Amino acid sequence: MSLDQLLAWLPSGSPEEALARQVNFEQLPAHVAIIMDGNGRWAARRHLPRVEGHRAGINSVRDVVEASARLGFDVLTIYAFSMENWKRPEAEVSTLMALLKRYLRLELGTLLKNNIRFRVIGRPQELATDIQDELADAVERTSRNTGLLFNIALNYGGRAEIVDAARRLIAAGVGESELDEKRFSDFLYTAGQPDPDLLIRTSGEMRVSNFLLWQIAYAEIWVTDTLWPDFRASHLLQAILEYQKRDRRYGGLNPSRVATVR
Amino acid sequence: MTRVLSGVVLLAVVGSISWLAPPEGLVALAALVAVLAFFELATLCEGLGAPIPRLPGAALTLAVTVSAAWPGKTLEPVLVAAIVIAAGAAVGAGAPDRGRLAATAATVFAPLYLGLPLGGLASIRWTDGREAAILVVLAVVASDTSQYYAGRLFGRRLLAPVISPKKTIEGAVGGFIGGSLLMVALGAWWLPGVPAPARALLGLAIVGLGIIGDLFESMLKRAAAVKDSSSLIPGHGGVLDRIDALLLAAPVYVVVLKCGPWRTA
Repeated sequence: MSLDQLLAWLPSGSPEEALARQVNFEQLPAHVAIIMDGNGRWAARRHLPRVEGHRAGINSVRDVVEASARLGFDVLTIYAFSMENWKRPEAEVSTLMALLKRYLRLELGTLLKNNIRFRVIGRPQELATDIQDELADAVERTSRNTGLLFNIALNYGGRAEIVDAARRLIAAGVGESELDEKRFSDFLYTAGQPDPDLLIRTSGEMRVSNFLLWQIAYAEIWVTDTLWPDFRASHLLQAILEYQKRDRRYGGLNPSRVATVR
Repeated sequence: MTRVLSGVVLLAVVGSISWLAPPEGLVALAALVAVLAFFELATLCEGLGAPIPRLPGAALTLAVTVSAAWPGKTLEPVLVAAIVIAAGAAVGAGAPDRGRLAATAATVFAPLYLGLPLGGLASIRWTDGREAAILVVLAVVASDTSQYYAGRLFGRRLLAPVISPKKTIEGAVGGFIGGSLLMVALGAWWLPGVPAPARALLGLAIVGLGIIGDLFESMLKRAAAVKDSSSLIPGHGGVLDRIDALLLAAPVYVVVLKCGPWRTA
C-alpha cells in the first residue's frame, strides 16, 4: 500500500510516524519472515505462567499483520508453531491451539478489511480436526483477496518442508534432467511466492531454528533483543530501515562498488 | 461480624490463589470447591428423595470440573460416564419406584451444575487470563453485597415470597446496580476487549442469573427443610450457599467470553 495508508493508522506525532516517514517505499522487502520468540521469557520476567506470554503475543501479531498490510509487503510469514513445539507441556500446546482458533475467528474481519490473503504452511493435516476446519475456513474466505499474503507456519519444520517437496516431486515424476532450483522450489509450501528478503527474530537468539531453510538463502537477518509480546509496528519499521541500509550482493559485488574499483 | 470476617478471610485465600497460583492451581481449587459442594448437594438431594451415589457422584463432579477446566479436554466421555453411572445406580437400587427418575436425573445434574461453572472459570484462566476469571466472581460478590445492604435499607416488597422470605425487589435493584457498576468500572482494566455497554449488559446478566441461582438453591433447601447446606464456612453456611449465585452466572459468562465477538485473549 503506501505511506498514506500507514500514516492513517499510526497515531499522529508518534515515534512510529517519524520512523514511517524515513521508509523508502521503493525499496521495501517483498517478503518478510518473522521468528516470534520470547513469549515464555516475557511471562517469566513478570512471574506469570508461560501461557500469559502467548496471550500477550497475540497483540503483537495483530499489530504486525496490519502494519505489514499497510506498508505493502507482498508476503508476511510468521513462525507460530514448529514441529518441535509438540515437546512442550500438553496444556500449553492446547492453550496455544485454543488461542489460535480464537484468533482466526476474531481476526477474520480484520484480514478481510485489509484485503489480506491467509495461508498455512507446514503440516496442518497433523493438527486437531477442529483447528484444521477453522484454518481451512479462514484460507477459503480470504482466498479472493489481492493484498498481503499472510502465511502462518504451523506444525512447520524447514527440513520437513524440503523432504515433503522431494516426495512430491518424485510423485510428480520429475526427471533428473528437469530438476533445478527453480523447479524444486515449485514443490515447497511457498511455491510461487518470493523468497524472504528479511528475516526478523525477536528476543536476541542467533538461530534459524529450522525455519524456511531453503527460502532464506539470501535473506537479510535482523535480530532484536525485544521479546515478542513487546514487539510492535515500531520495531518492524526499525527492521525495515535497517534492511534498507544493508548492501545486498547475493554473492556478487554491489554495482556501485564495482564502478569505484574500476 | 463472623459473617464479614470469614467472608474477608475466604476472599483473601481464594483471591490470592486465583491471582498468584499457576492455572493448574486454579484447576485444583475449582475441583476442591466442586467436590465439597457436591457432598452438600448430595445431602440436599437425599432429603428430597433423590439420592445420588456419593463416591461415583463425587468422582463425576471432579471429572466434569477438570475436563471443563483443562485446555483441549472434551466433556463427552464424562457425560457418557455420568449417564451410564446414573442408569446403573437406578438399576442397582432394585425395586421399581416412582422416585427413580428424580434420583437418576440428580446423579447427572449435580456434576454438571457444579463442574461446568467452576471448571469453566478455571479454563478461562488459561485463555483469557486471571483478571477475566476473577472479574465474574467479584461481580457476583458485588451483587450479593449490594443486594444485602440495599435490601436492609430499602427492602419493602418481597421478590419471591414462596421461596425466600428475605429477598426483596429493592435488594435486587441494588444488586443490578452494584454488579453492573463493577463490571463497567473494574472491567475497564480487567476486560478491556469488551466495550463498556456490553460489559454493562454482561453485568446485568450476571446479577440476574445470580439471583436465579440463589433462589434455585434456596428452593432446594426449603423443599428439603434445611436452613444451610452445611456449616463449613462460619456465618455463611456451606460452600453451596456461598457459590449458589456463581453457579448460574459463571457458565454463561464463560460461554460469552469463549464465543463472543470480543478480543479477550
